[in-house]
Amino acid sequence: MMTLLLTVLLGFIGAQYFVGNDDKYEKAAVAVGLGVGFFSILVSINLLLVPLNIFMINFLLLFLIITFGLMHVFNKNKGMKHHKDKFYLKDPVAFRYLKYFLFILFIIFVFIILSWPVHAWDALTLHDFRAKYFLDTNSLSELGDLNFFDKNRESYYFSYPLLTTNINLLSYVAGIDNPKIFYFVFVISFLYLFYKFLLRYRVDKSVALLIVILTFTYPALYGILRIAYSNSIYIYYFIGAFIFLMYWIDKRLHENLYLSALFLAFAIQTRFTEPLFIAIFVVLIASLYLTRKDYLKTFIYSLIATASYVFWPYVHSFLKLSFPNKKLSYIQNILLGIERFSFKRAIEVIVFFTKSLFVSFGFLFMLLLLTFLVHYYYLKKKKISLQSLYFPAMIISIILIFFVGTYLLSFSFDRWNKIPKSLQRAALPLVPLTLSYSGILIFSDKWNK
Amino acid sequence: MKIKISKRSKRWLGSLGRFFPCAWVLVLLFLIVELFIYPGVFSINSFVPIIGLFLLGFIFYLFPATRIGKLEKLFIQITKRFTVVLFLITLLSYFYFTYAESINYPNYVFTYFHLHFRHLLYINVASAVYLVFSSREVAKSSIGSYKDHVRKIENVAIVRREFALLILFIPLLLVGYRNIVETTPKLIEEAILTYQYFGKSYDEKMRARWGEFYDYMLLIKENTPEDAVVYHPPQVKPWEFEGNQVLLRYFLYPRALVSGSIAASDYEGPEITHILIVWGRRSPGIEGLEFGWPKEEVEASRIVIMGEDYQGPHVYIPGDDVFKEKRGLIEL
Repeated sequence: MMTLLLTVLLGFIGAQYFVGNDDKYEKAAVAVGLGVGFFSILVSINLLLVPLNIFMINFLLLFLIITFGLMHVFNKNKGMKHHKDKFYLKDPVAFRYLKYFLFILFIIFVFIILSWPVHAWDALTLHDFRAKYFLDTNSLSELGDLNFFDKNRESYYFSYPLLTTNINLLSYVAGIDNPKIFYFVFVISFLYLFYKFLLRYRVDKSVALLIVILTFTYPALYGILRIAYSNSIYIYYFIGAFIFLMYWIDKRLHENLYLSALFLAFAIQTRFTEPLFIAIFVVLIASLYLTRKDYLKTFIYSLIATASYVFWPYVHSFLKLSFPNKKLSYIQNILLGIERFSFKRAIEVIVFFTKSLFVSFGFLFMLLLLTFLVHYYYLKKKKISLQSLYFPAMIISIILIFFVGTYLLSFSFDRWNKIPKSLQRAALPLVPLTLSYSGILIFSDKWNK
Repeated sequence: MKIKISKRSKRWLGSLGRFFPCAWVLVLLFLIVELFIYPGVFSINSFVPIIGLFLLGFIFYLFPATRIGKLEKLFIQITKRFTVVLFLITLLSYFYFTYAESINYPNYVFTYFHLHFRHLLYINVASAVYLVFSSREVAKSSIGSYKDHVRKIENVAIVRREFALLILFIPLLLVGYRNIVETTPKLIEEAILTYQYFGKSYDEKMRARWGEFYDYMLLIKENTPEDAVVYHPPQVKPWEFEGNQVLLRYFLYPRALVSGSIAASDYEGPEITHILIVWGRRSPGIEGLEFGWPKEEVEASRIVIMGEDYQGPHVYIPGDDVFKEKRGLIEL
């Protein structure tokens, strides 16, 4: 329980430094991600060097609390003020009904999520198993030998970084039998950060709440949010990183940039198979190009994200694991893909993409295309500012990353076109991005000239 | 820039709005008929695009009707009251049928009531949308008076901006519609299942999710020591579950596991103490596969069969009817 308390305290002190005093709920939503993220990093480093030692983890958590506390004392963050909404559909009655509707949804959701133990496939066999294994053996290196007598599964326990596993570990260390309570907290925190982001972009609160409900009830996203998978944690961190990056681009408060960097690093520690952080880099580079300032801060940001990206493959080399390093084989795949470039394969990938991603997105994809068209029309008429380009840049970058990634994967993985559900799950960050992009374009004057 | 609209055109635009309730009633009638035949019957067989009617109704809605006669007023009142009743009936029926289906068997509702009960949600949501948009509050706050509207049409700049926004509003509405009709059944059915298992033990809940496979894992745990070395089938059809070493390890850790994908001649690990007996899972597209694992005759010190008190000889013979369609364990 001490570990959990220290993790929560670290999260709050960190959130106080990064977010300031503007909104206590937003601070809580950020605290969740910060506390768990730092806990995970400490556990991962611990496991790399010595057997798991909870006393040492607690000590390091305390050290970080004092550090952030001192940073806050010397640099009080007043936070960002909430802008007055530009009301478009001004209706307090609608807001009240939407609030009740969302409240009922959450009651049912929490009832479902907390009543069942961890039971979904990878949530059980990878994340929950690793957490229980670490608690039992305190070891990471021996985990690699478990699948010695099944060559098809040799690298399974090292296929994902440890953040999701460490959430389960934190739960068990704290004496909580069902780790899903933490996933629920992450879901609520993500939805609140998303809601706050829409408000700051001058979307009417009824409309913002409606967009949050549309995001939460999106069938594929809802399916993921209710099980203890890494996708729900990843969406929190990845979208959180984008949100705080947009705040920094808007207000240039360096706390927002560093918080975004941390969230991106934690997102990579949750899932690193899909390098979606490249899309965030695209936005960063676009910002550099448009503003021509803050080069050093941008460099530090990229450094933090890159360090996180190379950490997990480094674990493989450091532990001298007997099976091949999949990350190195990705680099070989890229070279192979370039060497063997084939139009026929590219078309096959486009067909697979269209069927498994765009068709499954359905009306959401139609909304996205029409939003691009309307946005282009407004830009041509010079009705909106260039600041609005970050959203389409992000979305198009993500789609391109998936397309190129699928193309490269097709040369080394025979069943590349038999796993559409994996692609749909990995592409779920596009749901809140598309809805917020359309919502801000329709219902806000933030980008108007 | 202004565009001139003739009096006749203004009258024509003003009369469009009277078709809004007609379009909606048509949509609801088609949906109700589909409830009893099958969802999608009109779009597949007669190319009647219900979604198209839905959108057409919404476009009519944007032009509030002027000079509504007494008969038309009566018609609108009747449609609203009918829709309120329909909304309540479909909501209550949906909950009732979902519960009935969960406590009986799949397709129970269709067997006894001859209706596709999940389609009730489409009718319910469509009714709710009609009631919301035909309410006075929404009409006043979002559309404004007829004169305002005509003034807007005469200003091309405003028409272009609002037309662009309308283009986005319709797919946003469709996204919401799809979200509600696809997610709500999952939410409600899951909530009912959760209620049925509320307060039950961990084993009962896992059994609800994993079925007989979970009982099989408990059987192996109870009949093997923690230092056992268990030989299991390879992860190919028909043994996708029992051949999945990482899945078995979650339930059987710290027992060592050896996959059947490793040939006996290549195996150099600790001595195997137990072998799983697995027939295999039947699923489409597996005709011609050989069921039954292991594939060789094995002499055992003990054989345990799930759900039976096996008293037969201590030898496992592949293809023997005693082990057909069974799960069990061989202790070497």
